[in-house]
Amino acid sequence: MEARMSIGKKFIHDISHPILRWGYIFVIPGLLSYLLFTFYPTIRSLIQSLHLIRGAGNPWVFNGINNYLDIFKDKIFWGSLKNTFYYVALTIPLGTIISLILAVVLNSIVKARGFFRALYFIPSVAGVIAVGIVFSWMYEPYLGVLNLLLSKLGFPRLNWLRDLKMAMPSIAVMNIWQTLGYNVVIFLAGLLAIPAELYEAADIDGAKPLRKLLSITIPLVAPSMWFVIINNTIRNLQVFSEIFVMTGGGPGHATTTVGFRVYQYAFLYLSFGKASANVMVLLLIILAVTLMQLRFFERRTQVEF
Amino acid sequence: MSYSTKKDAKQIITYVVLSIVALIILFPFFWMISTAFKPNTDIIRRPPIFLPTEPTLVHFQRVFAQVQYFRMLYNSLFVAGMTTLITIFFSTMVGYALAKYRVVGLNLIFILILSGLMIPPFTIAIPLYIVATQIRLVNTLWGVIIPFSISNFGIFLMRQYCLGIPQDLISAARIDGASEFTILIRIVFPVVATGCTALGILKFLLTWNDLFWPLIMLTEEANKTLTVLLATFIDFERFVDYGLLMAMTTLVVLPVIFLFVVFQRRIIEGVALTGMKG
Repeated sequence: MEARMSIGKKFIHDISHPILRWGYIFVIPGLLSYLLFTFYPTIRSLIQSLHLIRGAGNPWVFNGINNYLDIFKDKIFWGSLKNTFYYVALTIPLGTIISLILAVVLNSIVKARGFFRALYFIPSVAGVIAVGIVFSWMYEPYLGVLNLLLSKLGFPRLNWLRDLKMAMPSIAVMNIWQTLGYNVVIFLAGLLAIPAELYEAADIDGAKPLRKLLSITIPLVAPSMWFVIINNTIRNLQVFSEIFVMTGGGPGHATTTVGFRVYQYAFLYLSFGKASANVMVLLLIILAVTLMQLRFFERRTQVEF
Repeated sequence: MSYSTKKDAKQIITYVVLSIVALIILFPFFWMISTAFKPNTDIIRRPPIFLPTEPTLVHFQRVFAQVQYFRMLYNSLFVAGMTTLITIFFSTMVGYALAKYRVVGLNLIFILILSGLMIPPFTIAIPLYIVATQIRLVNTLWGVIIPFSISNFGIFLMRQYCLGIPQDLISAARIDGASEFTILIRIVFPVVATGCTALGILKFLLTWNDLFWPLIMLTEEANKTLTVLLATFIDFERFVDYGLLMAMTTLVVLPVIFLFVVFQRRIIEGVALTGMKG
């Protein structure tokens, strides 16, 4: 009985203890899955990036850092890097601001709040492929509904996805539209957690709505905001499906992102070594963003507690 | 204007704005369904019209004649369903071990799994694809299911839930002579059922909508999932048959929207809680 009661209070080193052994047994699938499907592929990606691999079944030839040198010499690679950051810059600030405003408005009403929140969330469950196909149809230059709206409002028609300058913003608009409901849900959860007393106290002090927004709402919703920004940034840095469905990287290479380049190298040019070199570049960028996130949370906790 | 009328007016404006946003959000779905029911003469009409002059089922009939829709619906359900069940079971089991067994080494494993959260799926997909071709798992549904069925995030999430299980509950069961496995099944699962449902629904939606991994793994017609099926109809060179494509998209989207309507509350709770990573 003594040994049983001690579980949960201190570490027990006796692995053969009949109850504690189960801790190791239960954790096996997690460890195996981590080793097989996270650790091993990540190391293998690095090793692959140092080899020439023509097609999935063929032998590897050691190539040193030449895959990296080759992609660094490639204009399309730098273009894809630029396009990826451009996509993030187009989607994250605007998407965050619009959804924050919507969440603040939703927070100010009582009736039908859940109804609107659910409606706004529908695009998030519909999936990028389906939604991308529908947007491609709406963006269609001759028969699409968006050009009809533009011409009715007296604006010139646009070529949307087929225009060098418009293609990326058009995809970004869809992404903002699609992730709006997701962001609103996160923000609303943050807003609902703000104690009502703070606003009451501000009312007593005669604070104006804008003042309350800047002094209470924004600072207290900041953790949700950081979560949304970092989470969406990491996801949008990996953008692939939107590009695959809506433009195939074109026109020219105007919407070729790093994620799409990985797919092109691996499955169109069957050059798995260079695909892996692209993957490693993407991995480094994402790790950098994640470290920024960790540093931010460290600083926050130091300030707050 | 009195205070209350001013307040009422403000409320009305708020609801009008929210409704306009709702219309913008829903419009693409309306347009998808409307196009799916339009005869081709309506689809190519300039300027476009909003509702079909004579609604027709011809595009849907063509979908069922041209592709094995139900076969692919089954594939999608099988892949998403199996992935979900495996995720729920193993994430809870591993999460429970990490939360409640204070034994040497488990902390290290927890840190490893946490670090795995940072690795983007791209890094994993290419090497696993090469391995899958070598061990002939390409073009099998299990090949799509296995690698992503135990997610680091799921384990992390279920560990958080399991931390909340009262230790007395487990100790009492042990004194009654229950085996550790019985405790897992009879006590742990029921207590963290909310977490299991949240994780399960989110994993199902994510797997259902996933493109990259099934796209590279499934190239044979009979094995495709619905998203891969949609992807094969994309063509940037030739004119796209939008009537057919919208009918097909409608048939792909409807099951998840139905699922969302049924589990709406749970899904939104789950997202607010987890950030929907799956």
